[in-house]
Amino acid sequence: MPSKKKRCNARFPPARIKKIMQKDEDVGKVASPVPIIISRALELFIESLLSKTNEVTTARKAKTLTTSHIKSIILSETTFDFLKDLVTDVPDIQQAEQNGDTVTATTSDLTQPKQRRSEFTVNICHMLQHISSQDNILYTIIHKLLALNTTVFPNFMCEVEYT
Amino acid sequence: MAEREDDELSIPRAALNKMIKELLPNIRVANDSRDLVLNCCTEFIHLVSSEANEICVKQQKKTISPEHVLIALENLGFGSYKAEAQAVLQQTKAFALKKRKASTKLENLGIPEEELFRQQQELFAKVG
Repeated sequence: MPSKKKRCNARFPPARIKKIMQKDEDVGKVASPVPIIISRALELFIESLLSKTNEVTTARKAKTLTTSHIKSIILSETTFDFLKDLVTDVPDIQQAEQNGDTVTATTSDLTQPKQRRSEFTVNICHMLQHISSQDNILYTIIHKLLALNTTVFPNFMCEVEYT
Repeated sequence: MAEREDDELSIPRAALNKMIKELLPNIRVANDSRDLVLNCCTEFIHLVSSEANEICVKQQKKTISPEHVLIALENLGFGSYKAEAQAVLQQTKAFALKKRKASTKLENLGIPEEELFRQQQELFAKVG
């Protein structure tokens, strides 16, 4: 009789699971097979969560699976509703991508398309123009400097001195 | 045994890391993502436990049984896990049965003690 290959991936320690269960004061006695069943269910749960998250990661062409990817999955499925509280502090994916005005630095900044960087440049220039509206030469110099920058400096600060 | 706060109780990181490696061998997973998944695991355990506990109480039982857990999984929307969970339950039962059979086998060879003693004497006589 051909035996199915048992996927004995990572089995979680039943004793640990039982401890976690009994942290809840309402939970009393637990039959011994119970933590073993929960271990298997947990395996399936993680598989499901990770493979769905991986789809998001791949779709975004990201090399690293981030908490934002996980968050988007949690929010998209009702069965994962119980996890919502865990991700309230996690940034949304949409926020990180759509918000062209934010100067917040993320490690993926350098991969952003040039269009965003020039938007940033324009914003800075407007600010500078407003500050030094009479100092056109200074503004032109700074504008050119920014245009030459190939990376985004979120902490870029410009000091204008009037003599 | 390392002293650990009860509040930080979660499944071992190593187990999770192994699982991630087997599932997603070509993807980098940030540390904080792993932490998040660990927390999700703990939440899952609590969720299933409290649901199973409620079912147990409704049935006026004192011990949470595997059947309670299976019903809990169904109620929580994880009915698709039931089949595998049941398979594991069967395996556990079969294993326990095997163990019990093995121990009784040794006790009940079917030969009474006097007969065994007689056979032993015969063997000694042969050697001597």
